[in-house]
Amino acid sequence: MTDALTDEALQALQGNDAELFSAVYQSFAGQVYGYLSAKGVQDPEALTQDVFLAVLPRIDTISGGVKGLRTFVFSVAHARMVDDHRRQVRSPEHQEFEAERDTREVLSAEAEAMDRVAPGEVLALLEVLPEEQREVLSLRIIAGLTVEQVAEIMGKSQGAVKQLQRRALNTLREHSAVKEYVAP
Amino acid sequence: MTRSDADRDKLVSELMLDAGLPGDAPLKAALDSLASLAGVPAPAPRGELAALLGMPAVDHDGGTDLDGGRDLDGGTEPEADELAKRRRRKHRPIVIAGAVMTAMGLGIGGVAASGGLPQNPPEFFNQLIAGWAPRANPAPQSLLPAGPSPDEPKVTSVPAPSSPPPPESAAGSSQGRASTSPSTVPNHVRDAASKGKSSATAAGKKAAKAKPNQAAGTGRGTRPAGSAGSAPGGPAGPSGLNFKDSFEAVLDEPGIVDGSTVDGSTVDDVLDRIVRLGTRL
Repeated sequence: MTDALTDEALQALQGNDAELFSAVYQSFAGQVYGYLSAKGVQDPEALTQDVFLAVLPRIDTISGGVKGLRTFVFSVAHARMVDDHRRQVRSPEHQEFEAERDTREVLSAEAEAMDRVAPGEVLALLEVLPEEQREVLSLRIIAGLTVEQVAEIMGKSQGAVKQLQRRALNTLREHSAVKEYVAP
Repeated sequence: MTRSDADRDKLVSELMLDAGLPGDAPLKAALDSLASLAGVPAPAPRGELAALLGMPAVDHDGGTDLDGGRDLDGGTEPEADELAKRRRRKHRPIVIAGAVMTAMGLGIGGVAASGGLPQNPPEFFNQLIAGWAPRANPAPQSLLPAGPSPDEPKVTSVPAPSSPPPPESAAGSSQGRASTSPSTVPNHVRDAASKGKSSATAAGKKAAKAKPNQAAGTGRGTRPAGSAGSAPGGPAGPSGLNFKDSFEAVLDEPGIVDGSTVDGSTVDDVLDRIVRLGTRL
C-alpha cells in the first residue's frame, strides 16, 4: 500500500538523499507500475525503474511539494510510456507474447503476476478506449492527478482533458465489456 | 480502506460528476477496478536503482534490493558450480580408463620383474613333470626337459645299463657283474639286468640242452652260431633281454610246453614257422 507523502515529510527529508529516495519510491513506484501496466508497455517493471532512475537524481530541483513531485514523476512515466509505444510501432514484426492467448500451456509466472497486478478484465476495460481517453483515465484514476496536471503532462488544455474523460466514461458505460465485467 | 483508497474513491466520484454521470454503479465499479491498479506494490529495485536506493537507511525496499542482489549472485554461482560438475563428470571416464591402464601396466611389469618361468622353474614344477613319466620306465633326473644340458643325460640314459650286461653275461663272470657300480645304475635297471642274467643263464642251459638234438640231426633251422651262446647278439631292450631269449624263457616255464620240443620240433623250428607265416602274410 502506498503511503501518502506529505509536504512536511518531504521537507523533513531534504538533505537525506537515501531516506528521501526511499520514501519517494515507496510512495510512487506502485502507481507508476500500475500506470505503465495499464498502458500496455512491454516491460512495466523495468520501465518503472527507469522512471525513478531519471527522477530521483533531480529530486532536489523539483518545486511544488508533493503535488509538483507527482506531476514530475508521471510526466517522466508518460514520456517513457510514449517512447515505449513508439518503439513498438517502429518494430511491427515484434510480437509480444501474450500468455492469456496462448492455450498450449498453463499461465506462466509472469502472466500470473500480471494478472495480480492488472487483471485481464481491467486491462480489457481500457482496451475499448481510444488512446487519448485511456491516457486521461489512467492519469486521473491510477496516477491520481488532477485535470490541471493531466493537461500539463499531455500538453493539452484543461478543457480538452475534461472532454476526453467525459467521452471515456460514456464509452465505458456503453460498452458491453463493462457490463459483462460488472454483471457478476 | 487506506487514505489513498479514500482519496481515489473521492477522485472517481469527482470524475463521474465532471462527466455528468453521477450514480452509475456499473461505471463506478469499473473505475474502481481501474483505480486498484494504483495500489500494486512497488517492484523491487534492481541494478542502478538498487545502488541508488541501497543506502543505510533504506526500508524493506532496500532489503529486497539486497536480496535481489544476492539472488543475482546466487544465480551465477550455482551455474558455475553446475558447469564445473558437468566438466568433472565428462572427464571422469578418461581418468578411470587411465587408472585401469596404469594398474594393468604395473601388474604386467611386476610379473616380468619377478622372473620368467622358463628361466627359473620352481621346485613343484620339476616334481610335476617327474610324476608324469611312465612308471615302467621312469626317466632319470637328467632327462627332465628343463635341464640346462639336455645332451648329457643321453650318455647315462637307458641304453647305458642295457649295453654293459650282455658283455658281462657273455663273459660269464658273475663277479664282474656285481662289480658294476650300482650307484650309477637305477634300481629298476639293475633288477632288469639281474633278471636278464638269470634268464640268460637259463637260455644258456636251454641251448646246451638243444645242442644234442641238433647234433642228432633233427635241427632244420639255420640257427646262427652266436645265438647258441648266451644270446647277446639280438637287440636288447631296457631289461637286457632280446625277444628270442625271452620267448625261450617263457617256453621254459613248466606247464607251457612239455620239454623243449613242441610236436617234436624245437623252439627254433617253431620260431621259423612263425617268421615264415609272417612273411607270407
